[in-house]
Amino acid sequence: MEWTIFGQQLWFGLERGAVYVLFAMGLTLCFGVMGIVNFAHGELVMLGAMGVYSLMTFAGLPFFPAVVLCILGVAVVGIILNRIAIQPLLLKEGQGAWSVLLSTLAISWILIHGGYAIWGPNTQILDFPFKQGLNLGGVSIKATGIALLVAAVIAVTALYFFLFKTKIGKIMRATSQNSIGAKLVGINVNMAYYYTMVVAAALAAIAGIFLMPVVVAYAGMGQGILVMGFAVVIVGGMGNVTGCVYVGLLMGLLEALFGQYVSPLYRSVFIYGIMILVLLIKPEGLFARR
Amino acid sequence: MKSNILKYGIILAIAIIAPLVLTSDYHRYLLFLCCVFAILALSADIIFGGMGQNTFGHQAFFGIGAYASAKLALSLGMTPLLGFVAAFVVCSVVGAFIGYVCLRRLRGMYLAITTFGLGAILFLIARNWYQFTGGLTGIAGLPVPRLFGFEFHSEFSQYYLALALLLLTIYLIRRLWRSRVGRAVISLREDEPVAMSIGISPTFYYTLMFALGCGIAGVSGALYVHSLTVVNPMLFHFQYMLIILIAMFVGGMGTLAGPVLGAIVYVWVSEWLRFSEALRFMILGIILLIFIIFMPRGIYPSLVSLWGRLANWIRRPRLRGELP
Repeated sequence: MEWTIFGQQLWFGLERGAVYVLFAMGLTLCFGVMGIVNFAHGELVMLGAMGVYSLMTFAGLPFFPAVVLCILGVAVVGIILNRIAIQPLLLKEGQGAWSVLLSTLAISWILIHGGYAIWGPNTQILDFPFKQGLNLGGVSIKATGIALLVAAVIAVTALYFFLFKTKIGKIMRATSQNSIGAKLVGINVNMAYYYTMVVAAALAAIAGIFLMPVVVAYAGMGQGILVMGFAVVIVGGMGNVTGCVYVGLLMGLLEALFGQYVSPLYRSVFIYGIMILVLLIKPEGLFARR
Repeated sequence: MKSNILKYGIILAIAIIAPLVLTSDYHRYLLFLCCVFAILALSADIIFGGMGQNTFGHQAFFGIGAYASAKLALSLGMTPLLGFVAAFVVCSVVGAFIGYVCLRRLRGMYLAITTFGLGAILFLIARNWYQFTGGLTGIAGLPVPRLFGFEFHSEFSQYYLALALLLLTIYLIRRLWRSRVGRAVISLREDEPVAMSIGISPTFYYTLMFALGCGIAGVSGALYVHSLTVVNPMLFHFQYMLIILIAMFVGGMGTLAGPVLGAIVYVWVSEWLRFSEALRFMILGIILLIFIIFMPRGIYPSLVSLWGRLANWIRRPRLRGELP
């Protein structure tokens, strides 16, 4: 066994894991606060990636303004998504969460093929600003990866601060614990849903932007990462943000190592398989409280 | 009863006459597609509408059935009509296994995610296992269905074969819901704890129904590829699940006529939108979304209730004004 290859795969796994953490945190927030499964979350990643690509290539913006604009844009998409496909159905009597699952599935379909209509089926390559790399004993570490890890750490810390220190975070946590109780004490639950979607969409956009140098970006990229996100959310426990961070990194590492040592073609199958096993044996997740 | 026979007679007559009126091969092929997707949507509706559960991996059984029949025809020389039976058996067995494992504990969103993941796994395996599935190009040169020396080559004859299978499916499902098993499943759908308390095992009956739905989906897949004479892993693609969902939601879930109507609507709308591949699926998605938000019952039940209200209104036009 060559240790440089092992180290390289560990690094790749860490990169992927950071993206999965960013992605799955939004998904798990949606589940925790609103009690829904958002099938359109993968397409928010796609919009993040393709949006920053378009802003830089067609509008000619520099990297950082493009990133900020793109995150804001995807957050607006999240608001629209919430207004059109999530809230009207959640407020209805009966099978709210079930209809939301289907409506977000339809939205994801619309966004994928809208993306194909705009950007075409080709994969896009972004001119990322961090080109330097360093060589750590045979393991090549690109600056994009370091930027990704820094962004992920900042995003996770900011999210923790937001959830546990600010008033809006308190509103979101209260809604996630008991939405009827939250309503009774005068919390505007509908606004909590909006906040959740904005945070989730912004996280998805960041994941999408930093996913561009890791995997190829095209209009249909959301589907693959969606199942990965589900795997992380399920194994970490639905609605559990802390579990999500650990499991996201773990899944990235497992995927990279499986791809290197067992079979690169079936590495996604391996992760999906883990998810299904956990669902069958312990559906509440490995990091469930109690 | 008499009016029922008349009603079914008229619908059947329309179905039989349709390819004689639409004489181009293209339109006959569309009619054939309607039948295939109607069978597929009906099979999924056993799980969605009948059992009240869900599955987002149903498209995989379309592919498994197609490959089962195609492989048997190519390697053993099995005649395609027997291949349909084989597809039913293979898909039922796989479906029974998956159904047993999933439906033992999982319900609702957990079931949706599990089946979605299984569908994704099966698609990836079908795409990557090119020794068996032929990779993305697939396997060409399948035989067309034969019966007593007659070969179903033309779109015209294939339509009647598909129509016969569709009628068989409708008949079976209709009988099924009126049988002891069907009533047990309906009682489970309405209230699982109560049904369990009188000794109805949810795992057993749900597995049985799930397996049946998967088997019928397999038959539709086999029927589809033996008319195309080529089979490829894209049959496992999630787009067939969306076709199922559109057919069920537009037509009306939990009815027999709904999925058939929905399949017809899907095929014709998607052919009108042929001019652009991406826009076609986008508009189909918008249609699905509109139906989920504004008309979750679907066309057929809405039409039935509209017809009932209309009939009431015609029958008793003056009552409203005269009664105090």
